[in-house]
Amino acid sequence: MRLAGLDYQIIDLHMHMGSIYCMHYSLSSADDMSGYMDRAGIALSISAPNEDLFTMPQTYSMVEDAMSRYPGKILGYYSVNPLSHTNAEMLEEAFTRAPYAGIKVLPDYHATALDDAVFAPVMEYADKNHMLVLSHTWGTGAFNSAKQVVSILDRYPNIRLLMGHSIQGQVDEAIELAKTYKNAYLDICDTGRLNGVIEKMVKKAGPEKVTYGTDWPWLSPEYLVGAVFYARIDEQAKRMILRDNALRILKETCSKKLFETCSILRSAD
Amino acid sequence: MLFFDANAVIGRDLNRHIVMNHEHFTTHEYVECADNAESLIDYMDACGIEKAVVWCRSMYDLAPDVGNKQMVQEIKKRPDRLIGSWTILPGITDKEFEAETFLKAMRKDGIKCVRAFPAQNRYLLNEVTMGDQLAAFEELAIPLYLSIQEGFEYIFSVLKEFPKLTVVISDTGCWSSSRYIYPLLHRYENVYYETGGFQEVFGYEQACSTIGCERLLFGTDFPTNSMGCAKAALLMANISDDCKEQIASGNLIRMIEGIRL
Repeated sequence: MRLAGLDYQIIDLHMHMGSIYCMHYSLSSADDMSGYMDRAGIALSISAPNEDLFTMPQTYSMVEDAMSRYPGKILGYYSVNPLSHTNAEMLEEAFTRAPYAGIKVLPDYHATALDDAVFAPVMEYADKNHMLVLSHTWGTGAFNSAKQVVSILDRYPNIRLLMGHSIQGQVDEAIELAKTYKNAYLDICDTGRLNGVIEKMVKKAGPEKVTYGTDWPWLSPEYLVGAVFYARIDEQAKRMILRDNALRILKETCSKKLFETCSILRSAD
Repeated sequence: MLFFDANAVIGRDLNRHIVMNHEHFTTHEYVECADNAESLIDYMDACGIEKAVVWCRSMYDLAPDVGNKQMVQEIKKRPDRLIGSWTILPGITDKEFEAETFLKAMRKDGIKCVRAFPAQNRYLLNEVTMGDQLAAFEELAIPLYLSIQEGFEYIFSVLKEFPKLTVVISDTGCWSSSRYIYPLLHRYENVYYETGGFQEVFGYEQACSTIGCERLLFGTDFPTNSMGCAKAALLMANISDDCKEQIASGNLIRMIEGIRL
């Protein structure tokens, strides 16, 4: 069931896929994801499967299979584990092999700071190619708080940095960064549920800086649709968060190969 | 469809608000709060929520006796829409919380539900410390709200001692806690699950097929969560309209009507 008045399809920039150790959920495959997207009114998603984030060595088989079977509907992040010592050659090979939409890093869980030297080749490659980078960010600890995010934004101005969870615990700092840096974006994944936060993001950073992401299948897309749908912001801002900002960012950052694969991007041209 | 929120807070936090992610992981963030009943009603109206079971933040941050008094003043403003709950303490140290005295005060002030924060208030929620009160709550079917902010072990242990107790598991955080909660719902017939933080993918479908919809209570955990989150999740779930109506308000109304205070 769709919410009355929500007459456009949503884009989700922050999804995963597959089982995870810490919680139960009943469905999590690429086929499940496709079905769930239809039900929740999501036309396009970008996924970083758990198996590429939480095991080594990474195979990228799940995400590349999903991208090949659901072209233009399920896109993928190339997940980087610092233990893999990812370099430009590895990234070039991956982005040539498959139509990845961006790069995903998970500093907290990998116990490696976002601005650690091990990520430098990755960030340099992303910067050179004007790519989308989704980093888990969180306001506690020393791996991906505002301090590390600033360091990346200062050094790599061509990256579009999606601050996953908008540095929960330091959301005010994240909003300030989104306002200050033209290449920094807020992600409402989980954090958008906090009462008044979406309104504050829109008011202070601008509606063009707020994006919709859910962590599916960790968390429910419907729940966060509700956070936007019932927020005390105007209808245009809601549509920007749920759809238009993601389309704009993807069009600015995607490869020619991805653009050709993805009808929703072409139709928005 | 009538929406009856099983869990909302009046009052501002002492510090940045504690955000539940799961039972071992909280963060602190700024959220917009409802300073009083009027403000909470404004939020409810904006989201199409008719009634709410409420508690006061000062019960937790300051002291239960102070917060309980504030609760009475707030619900007096809108008794047609707000149902009050009080926080309990051991009667052996805090005499106004002795079972007989406390129940009499609940009747006088129209309070329907109770809450326990044993870790915050530094006692054990067990027969030794709270036996008289828990036995009375069990007998009178007075709902006892227990937050997973203090973990799950104390919920399992109190239900082992008082298996007929009416318990509302609340403030469940964003990560699925089904591996903890489903066994409790399966074992104990008077345990309810308040859905304010319920973000499990296919969660309503899974819960209804596994344990039925009769003991799911729509809640918001406001202001941790904006009220629209839980409402949208329920409205968009692929379950029958009858189940949605029971969860949205029917189950909570039935639970409250069953109180023998």
